[in-house]
Amino acid sequence: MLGKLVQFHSIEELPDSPVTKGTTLWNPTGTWRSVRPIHVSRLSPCLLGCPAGNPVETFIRLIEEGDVDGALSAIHEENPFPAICGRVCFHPCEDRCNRGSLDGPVAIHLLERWVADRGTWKPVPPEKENGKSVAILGSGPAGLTAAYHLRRMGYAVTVYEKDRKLGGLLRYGIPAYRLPRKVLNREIKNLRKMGIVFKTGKSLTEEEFDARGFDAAILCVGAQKFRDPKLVHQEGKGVWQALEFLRGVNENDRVSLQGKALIIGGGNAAIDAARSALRCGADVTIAYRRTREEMPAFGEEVEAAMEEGVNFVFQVAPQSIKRGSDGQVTGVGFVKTRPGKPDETGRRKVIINPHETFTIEADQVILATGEVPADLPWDLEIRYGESLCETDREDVFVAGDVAGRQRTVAYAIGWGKRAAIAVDAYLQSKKVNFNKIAVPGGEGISMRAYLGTAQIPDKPVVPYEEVNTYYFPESEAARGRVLPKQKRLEGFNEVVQGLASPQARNEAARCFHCGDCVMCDNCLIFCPDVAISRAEGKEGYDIDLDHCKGCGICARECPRGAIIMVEENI
Amino acid sequence: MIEPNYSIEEEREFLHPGHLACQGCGATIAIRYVLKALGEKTVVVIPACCWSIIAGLFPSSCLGVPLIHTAFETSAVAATGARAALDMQGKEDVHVLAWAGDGGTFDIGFQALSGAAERNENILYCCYDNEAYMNTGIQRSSATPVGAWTTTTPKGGLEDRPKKNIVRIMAAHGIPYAATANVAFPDDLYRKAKKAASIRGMKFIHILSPCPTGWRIPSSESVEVARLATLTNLFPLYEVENGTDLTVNYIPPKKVTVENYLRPQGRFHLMSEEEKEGIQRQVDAAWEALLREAKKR
Ligand SMILES: Cc1cc2nc3c(=O)[nH]c(=O)nc-3n(C[C@H](O)[C@H](O)[C@H](O)COP(=O)(O)OP(=O)(O)OC[C@H]3O[C@@H](n4cnc5c(N)ncnc54)[C@H](O)[C@@H]3O)c2cc1C
Ligand SMILES: Cc1ncc(C[n+]2csc(CCOP(=O)(O)OP(=O)(O)O)c2C)c(N)n1
Ligand code: SF4
Ligand code: SF4
Ligand code: SF4
Ligand SMILES: [Mg+2]
Repeated sequence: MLGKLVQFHSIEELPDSPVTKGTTLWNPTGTWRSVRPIHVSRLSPCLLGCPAGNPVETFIRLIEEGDVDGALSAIHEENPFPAICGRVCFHPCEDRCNRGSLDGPVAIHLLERWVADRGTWKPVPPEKENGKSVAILGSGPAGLTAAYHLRRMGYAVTVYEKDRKLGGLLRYGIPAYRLPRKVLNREIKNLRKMGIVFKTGKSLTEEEFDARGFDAAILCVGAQKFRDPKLVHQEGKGVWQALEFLRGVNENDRVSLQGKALIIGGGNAAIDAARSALRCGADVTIAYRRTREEMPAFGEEVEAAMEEGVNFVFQVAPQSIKRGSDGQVTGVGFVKTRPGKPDETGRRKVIINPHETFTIEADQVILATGEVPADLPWDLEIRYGESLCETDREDVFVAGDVAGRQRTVAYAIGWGKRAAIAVDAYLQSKKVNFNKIAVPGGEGISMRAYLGTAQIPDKPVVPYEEVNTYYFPESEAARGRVLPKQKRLEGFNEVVQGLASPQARNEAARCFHCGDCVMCDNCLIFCPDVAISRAEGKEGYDIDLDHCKGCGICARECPRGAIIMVEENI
Repeated sequence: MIEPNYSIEEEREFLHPGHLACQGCGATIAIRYVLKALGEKTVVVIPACCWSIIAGLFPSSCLGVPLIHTAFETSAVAATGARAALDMQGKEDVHVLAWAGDGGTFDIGFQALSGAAERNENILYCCYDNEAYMNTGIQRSSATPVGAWTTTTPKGGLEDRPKKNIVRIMAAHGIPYAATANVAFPDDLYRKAKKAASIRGMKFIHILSPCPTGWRIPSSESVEVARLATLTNLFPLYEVENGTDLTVNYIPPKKVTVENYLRPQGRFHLMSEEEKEGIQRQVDAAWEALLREAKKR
């Protein structure tokens, strides 16, 4: 704001001594400026990394402010399963976290877990029913998430699950030592309380769907079909499919396994099968075709398996199951492999050396050679459109593992949300620009952006170089305590423990809050022209553009890149 | 909202916008926090220096407190006079702040300053140090550091005499309080000015004030560069009470080499690698000596 210039119009008006009559506020030093600072909301890298679209930076900020329930609600706007994700998600958000370039990423998954375990969030039916109904096939994370969001929008939702219990691979794939059933049941129970109808042990045919007057359907039937390696003498007892074995373990808590168990494969199912087999009493070896570095399994999981005593044999390809005269499995015949040239995806081919054969002894063999998407139960084809959920029937959509792409829980959750939005847009004849509600350059999609309750920042992501690290003394990332090895092998107790509250608060305080002004006052403190002040009656700052000279100190000193300098049109 | 980490309680501003400092000038940040600490009952005395311009032209002033402009070499005596006049009127609660550049302090005003210190005048003398005569076009002063280019170092040559250690010289007068400060550490600066205000007698604060124009840096980097001076131990933050009691106020969390401070500044671009290494050695030795002396306390 400009002030008044004091001027003298005659000698008489001049004071006797040259004494000050006014301030310099009349002087528009803003005219010196060629660039102008603006406080902006920018994308934080963690948001780009989360396939479920969790508002990571926002919920961490709420933890720091002491509002745990608020933090939980913020996640629930996007994702109904923070307690599950906080435990089993491979946290790609942390791979992107800027703090990783300093001293280790913020332990986002542990904070998500802590919020979900400590906060309260009340599931309630929607205020208004909209009179339309949707059928969902499959109760894995994709189906349940789609159901959750549609129910919140006022749809009557029925989930058909062909299994006895709800949860898909969350229940029948992922073992309880990583995801306790209590936690799974708690988050599923929330959905029941919202008035979602579940039909278990049942599916729905296309004819039934048409006959019962549903307005739309989403097929979330997963990718649990066995990829058969077709080994010689594979048929017969002593040979399990990984998912079949895990299902047995997960239904009965324990399958008695004596002697040597040999697991074939290098993915997460192989590791889960191996660690479960250990807990069932077996002596366990994993045999994988490629090198350790090439294992698709999550690194932390591989390490945990090694720690627990699983043996690994790399670069071997199975050929045949060896059986004794009584038909009992005695081992597996392998050939050695070596890496070949990379294929078009960059992955190296496996070259088999048929002359180097050998046998590994085993009493049980578990084939974890992978799964492929289930055949769609209805006579339809997937037709990826704008939402990536379309089929060739306009009222039928797909989501989750069945639709291919990346197959993880967080993806399934993000995809379930996509499908819910696609269904709503179709049934309410809304035009949705999926580019506008997807995180730019990221994986997730925002329900709040779709509903118009929050915006995705439209300013470029804050790179590490723009974080002013002076303000963040180095500190180590929090880690969950783990059960001692002996305790782990006694049963299926959860291995990784959550954070204690003081630990969680410290961890939240490690977040830079990339691109989000937290009102730390730094810009105001360092402005040489006293041109920045706290905005009156609202959050944020006012910049006195009549006087700001555009020096850029505020932008440089902002710890988190929340001020950008833009050129003036001169 | 997450609480700001600063402990500067004074919300009022005694420095007003519209002043005439260059973009990014550190000398303005410096006075802002000193005046917040002293409050409205303050008289400021300014000799010839950038600040005589920054303050604005008659009849305007950017300061919310009375200001006396005085001749280049006279800030300490002018302040002494103002003090005496106030005391005679019984206004002992009014602070007198002499606010001078490094040229006015280390060089031409030094005789007056040393006299005031010797007499233990009840004033606060702050030197905002931008390490050269900036107002008249970047001429060298005895505060110009080794290796710096100025417009009055012979062509191709660089400053080769070490910067005068003004705080130790002032402390050697046995005055109650002498300290260093840096605009990049406003909390520390504010605390020191507050402490000085609570002490009777002569107080001296030497404030490192980055000058984008003379240091040859972008205006946006001035605070960052000033901070590096302290993070590299080249400009340590410390205070000396009663001539001898030395306290180091800030210990950098990790070692940062002086190269990080020198590299961004155009004024050091003519330095060779060996010269930079020489500076690193001097800085390391001086820092060790400072810590040893602080321990003796
Ligand atoms: C052993 C194992 C461990 C894993 N661990 C992790 C992990 O730690 N973290 C992670 O992120 N991801 C993990 N994954 C991957 C993750 O579990 C899946 O990506 C995710 O569960 C996919 O969700 P979805 O809803 O698409 O399918 P699913 O979870 O497979 O659910 C599909 C559901 O549809 C039901 N269904 C099928 N056909 C019909 C029908 N016709 N009618 C009605 N219902 C039907 C099925 O019974 C099932 O309940 C793991 C996978 C495996 C196999
Ligand atoms: C006796 C005298 N000599 C020279 C000048 C010209 N002069 C005005 S300001 C100035 C430089 C002041 O340098 P410094 O004290 O370091 O303050 P800065 O300008 O760097 O802020 C000079 C040489 C003067 N005003 N009076
Ligand atoms: S520091 Fe915080 S805001 Fe920045 S990427 Fe990491 S979690 Fe996100
Ligand atoms: S410096 Fe602090 S107050 Fe300023 S914009 Fe950045 S976060 Fe906000
Ligand atoms: S020349 Fe330097 S010290 Fe003088 S006003 Fe400009 S920036 Fe400030
Ligand atoms: Mg100077």
